[in-house]
Amino acid sequence: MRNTILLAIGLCLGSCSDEKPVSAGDAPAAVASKQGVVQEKTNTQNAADITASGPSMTEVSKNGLFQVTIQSDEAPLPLNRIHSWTARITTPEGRIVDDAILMVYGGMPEHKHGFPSKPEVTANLGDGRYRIEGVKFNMPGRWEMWFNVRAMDQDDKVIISFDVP
Amino acid sequence: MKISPLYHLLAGSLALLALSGFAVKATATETDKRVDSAWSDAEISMLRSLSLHSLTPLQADPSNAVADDPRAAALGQKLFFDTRLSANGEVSCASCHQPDRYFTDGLGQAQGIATTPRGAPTLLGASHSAWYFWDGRRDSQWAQALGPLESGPEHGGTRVEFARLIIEDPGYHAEYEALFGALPDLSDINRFPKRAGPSSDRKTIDAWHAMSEDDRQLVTRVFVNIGKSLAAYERLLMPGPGRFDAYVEALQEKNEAAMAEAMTRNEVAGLKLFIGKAMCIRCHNGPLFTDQGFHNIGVPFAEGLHLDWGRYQGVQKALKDEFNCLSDYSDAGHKDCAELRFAKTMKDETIGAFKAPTLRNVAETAPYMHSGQFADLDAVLDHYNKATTSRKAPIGHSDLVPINLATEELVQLKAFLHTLSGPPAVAPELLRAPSVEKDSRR
Repeated sequence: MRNTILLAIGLCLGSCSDEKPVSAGDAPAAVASKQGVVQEKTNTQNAADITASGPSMTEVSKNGLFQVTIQSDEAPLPLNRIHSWTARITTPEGRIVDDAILMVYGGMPEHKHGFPSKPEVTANLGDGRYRIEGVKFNMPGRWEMWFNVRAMDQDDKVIISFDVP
Repeated sequence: MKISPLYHLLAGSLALLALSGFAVKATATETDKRVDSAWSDAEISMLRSLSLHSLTPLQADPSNAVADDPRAAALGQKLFFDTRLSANGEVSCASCHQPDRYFTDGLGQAQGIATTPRGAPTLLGASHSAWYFWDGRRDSQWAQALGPLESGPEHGGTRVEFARLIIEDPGYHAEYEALFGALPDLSDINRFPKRAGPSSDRKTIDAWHAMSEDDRQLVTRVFVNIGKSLAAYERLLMPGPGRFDAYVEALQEKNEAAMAEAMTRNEVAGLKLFIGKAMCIRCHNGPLFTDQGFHNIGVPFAEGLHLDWGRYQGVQKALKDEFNCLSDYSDAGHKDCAELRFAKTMKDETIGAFKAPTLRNVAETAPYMHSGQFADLDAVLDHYNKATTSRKAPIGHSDLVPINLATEELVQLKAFLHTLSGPPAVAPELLRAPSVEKDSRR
């Protein structure tokens, strides 16, 4: 139930506007992130480069298909500085999902704004892990990261909420 | 270079510095010393995050190899005050970024050779930003510094003229070569016309395009290094603590007498509004009181100026900029350019948005907004207080929400803003032209 409410807010943040729908070049975050969609293994970054050190957070997707765990490279979460995260996708039973098409977006529901940057999934690191670059928080408080996950011919959505100190 | 020890050193010795011209408001009056110090833990944590003591050391600028080289800063300081870097020999960077006005000029629209459409923001703390200009059309401080030099109404010069000045001035020549290696030979007036550059008027643009690609690069490389030297100097310009910072320090020490000494009751009430009901903290957060982001707050267009798309156009310009982080003139690698690579471009969230300025010294740097639309702080606060749920803005949608402050609260908020004033944490010798007796006409 909680996820449903959050999702509604999330979808509104991503797409609600009094303005006319925007053209391709002006797409909202969710659509713009398509460039970063990983369709095949593009191991541009070695796993050894990843220095995840922030707290990890896990949520199960809305329809219960996937479990997403995210972790920031930095702890505490930095303010006003662009940085990277890693997402790990499994089924709720723990089976690795290593061929997902993943889109990331998010923002601050309370303040009705998205990220000040345009985060993208830039690499499939293997082992169900995916690189997220371009994350930036510009104020302390409650933030959310939203994921659209497509794998096993099915789509599902995950919202993960956390506080930026 | 580490800013933090420098900051502490300077902050500690500021009382000893006799910097005339900086108006810092007097401490609390005797009748007004009782302090409501009932802050929650969360509020205290928030206040600490706003204190200058929380300012993290200035990050390296990988796009500028000489960013923290003192020799580049010394050269940059000379260039900053040199009016020869202009078409009429009367305009320097310091014309609009005046050290005794907190590196602003007191004008709504900067005045160089002619009037520009936008105001000159302060340089104090500016190096902490990832984006420059009100619309963020440049992504480094050195690239920013190059903009006004070639802009017709600002310095009005051309890059061939600037490169020649470096070559022909013996002091600049030697300092440049020590930093960047041999200067090119531009003596052939047929290959290198007197005035030539990609901006400005038709004639200089045509002259620029008549030059060979290789020759254009020779000139542009010198021009870029002028910008990198200017940025090395500007990285040393930091705001100093105000009474607000003294208050937070006293609060942490639970020293009520020192708290009362630092801020009046009215100012403390204003601070409570600032981080609470008035929601200023949404965008004006961190020790520089800015999230360095772009926001549409529905500011009216300045008289006589056309529709301004703000960040929507600014980010497009930055992505195509010949001097951006990913360009050949940048010293950064691909991995260092995350701000540019992941810049938000969505029209809905960028149209009509302008950069949130620092509020450090805000009471000393009127007028306000990107084109000086508001003459004083009263007008600014009135604008915020008039916000409605309609989100109406001259272009796009305003991010503002109603705050419904009473007249008395507006007075308190304004009083608080005065506690953010303090002399720059900059060594006095950096606040003036370094070689008045020679080279410079100033």
